[in-house]
Amino acid sequence: MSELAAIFFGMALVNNMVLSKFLGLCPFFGVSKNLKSAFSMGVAVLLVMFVASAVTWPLFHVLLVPYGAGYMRTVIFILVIASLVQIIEMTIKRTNLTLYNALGIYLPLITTNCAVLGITFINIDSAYTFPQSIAAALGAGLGFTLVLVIMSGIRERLDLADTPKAFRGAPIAFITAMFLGLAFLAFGGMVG
Amino acid sequence: MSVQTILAVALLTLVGLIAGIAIFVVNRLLPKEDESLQKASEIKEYLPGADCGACGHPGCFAYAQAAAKDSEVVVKTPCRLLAKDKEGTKRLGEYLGFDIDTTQIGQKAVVHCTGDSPVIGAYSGITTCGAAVQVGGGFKECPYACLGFGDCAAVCPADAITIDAVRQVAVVDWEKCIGCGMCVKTCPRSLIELIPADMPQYLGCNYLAAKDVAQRKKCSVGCIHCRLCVKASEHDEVTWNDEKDLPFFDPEKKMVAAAAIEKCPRSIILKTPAFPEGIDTVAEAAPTQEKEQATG
Amino acid sequence: MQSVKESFTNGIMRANPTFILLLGLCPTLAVSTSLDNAVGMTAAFLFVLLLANIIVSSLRRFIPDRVRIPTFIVIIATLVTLVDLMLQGFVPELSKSLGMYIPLIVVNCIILGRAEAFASKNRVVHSIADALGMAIGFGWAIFIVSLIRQLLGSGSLEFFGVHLFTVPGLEENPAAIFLLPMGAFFVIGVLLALFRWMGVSESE
Repeated sequence: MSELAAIFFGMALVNNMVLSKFLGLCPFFGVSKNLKSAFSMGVAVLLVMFVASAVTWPLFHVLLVPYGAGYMRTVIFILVIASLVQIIEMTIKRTNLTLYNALGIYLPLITTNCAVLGITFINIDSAYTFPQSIAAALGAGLGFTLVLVIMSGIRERLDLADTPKAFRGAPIAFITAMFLGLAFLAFGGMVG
Repeated sequence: MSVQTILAVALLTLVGLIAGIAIFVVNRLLPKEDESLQKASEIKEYLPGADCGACGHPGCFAYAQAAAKDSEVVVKTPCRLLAKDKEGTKRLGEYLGFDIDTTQIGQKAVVHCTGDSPVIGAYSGITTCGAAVQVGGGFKECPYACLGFGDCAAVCPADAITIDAVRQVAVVDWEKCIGCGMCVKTCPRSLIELIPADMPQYLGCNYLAAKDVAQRKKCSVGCIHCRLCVKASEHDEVTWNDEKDLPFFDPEKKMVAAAAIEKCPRSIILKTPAFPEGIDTVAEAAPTQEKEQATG
Repeated sequence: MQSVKESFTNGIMRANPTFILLLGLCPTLAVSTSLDNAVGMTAAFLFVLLLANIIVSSLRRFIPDRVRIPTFIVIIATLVTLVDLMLQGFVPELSKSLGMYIPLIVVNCIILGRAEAFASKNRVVHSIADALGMAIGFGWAIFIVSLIRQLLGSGSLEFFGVHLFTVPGLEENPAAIFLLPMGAFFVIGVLLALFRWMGVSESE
């Protein structure tokens, strides 16, 4: 159990998807302009990461590996993720309109998000067991949401500040990400 | 064709098929897409889209959804922003199939400040009221003055608030105001209040004597709590609010307080556009004393 | 209708994918720790983008509109798998260094974006020019970032084992932060600001 917790917190804080693995940068800089949409995007990503990991792990170990087709994982995973996102979007749209209005519009953006495909690859490359890969997915999703929310808070404030003209927008956002990353380095020794 | 190739193609086809079937099955199993969603999207096209909440619904899309289920909603809780746009109201009425009557008394916003308080320091921070009030109690002498950076004007969906640049104060245009109350929530000094649209007068000051601030005086037209207005009222048009230490005009009774307006030594009881014609008083709509602005 | 030459030069400067369009930042930041990595990533990128553009452009009249995106993704995924396996086979060291960022090319916004926005609407010749231009644009962008990061982060420049250059005094105490992800953010933030300051037009 403590091992799962270690993986969970490791993925969320120490090996944060955005700040130390560079995954999910496009939504990180694209959607982090205001707090509400950032939170919605984060939750949507968490949901998709969870479902994607839950489906791709068994798929890999049951269907691909026994037949020596591990190299097919790129194509197979992306197909599965695209279909999953389609199904999730359909389900939310038809069953819970409020939820759909809140985060449904972000779901199509997540299909080509490196964060989701990335976490499925990490699960395989780190040779996690099924419970471990779920813990990793949840941790990664939460870490992504956390960083996205913090970033959007900072950016909302930055909008009001007197930034030099050349730095406005993306450049200052990147430099902010650097400081955020530096701060997260402090978590380094946390998970042994 | 080696085994590997066949295997790869077979796997891909298999996964593709499973994915396709899964999508198909889920599509069938799920309840049909709520029809009102389609209608709501269509109705939303006719709405202003300002999400001001004046109608009482949490946003224009929620209003559209409610209207899609029950079209009486547009009459029971009319969209007050749309009511300003006769063409738009007509188009929505045509879409829904009946005439929409939008005359209503409603409420309007007033700013309890005339902006006469002098500036006591040069402020060079974030140019929003929300930020400026946090720096040393504001850059105007009066601790309850309007700072005039226009947080309220920015949030008004009807563009009813303008900023008087000379006095640095917000002014509400009752013609355009729809009484949604977004400015009330935004003002960090709670200077804006919604009063009935047929209220004849309001107080142009919010200096709460009960909460004096050391070293900070009210401006030259601020309320001095003399209660002459109360004494001048023959039929209790004006009563005294002990908590705030300011005059109180009952919004239920909406009585015309012509005598109080005349007797006020600071002429700070101001007429609204709803003040009836033909009654003579001293006070104009806004005091016009010139003030020197001390720039630090 | 752009000329072939215009399609080519577009990607290098005016619509540079990294600095102007701000697409595909994940690989740029992740692998730009050394020049070798930069070259390897660019080569893989060029391969996938070129072939993807050619295939999509050739088939553009036959792909039904509704299954457009999934089709593109499958084509790109196949090409990426090819490249991944080739790298693993021929340059295993480089492949290990690049890690999972090669398979992640499949969701790289640049490739999908070019397929969707350009190759599916233009002739093969133009698409080839566009692919080459974009790849060169991506290439020199990642090259510069790697140059800065490797120079400052390890004090010396090495290129496929050939020692090129050493900054005196820096090799003993390199600014290791530049090899970390944060350094990458900083470098690209400053470079973006530099570009903006130089007045290159942008679409943000």
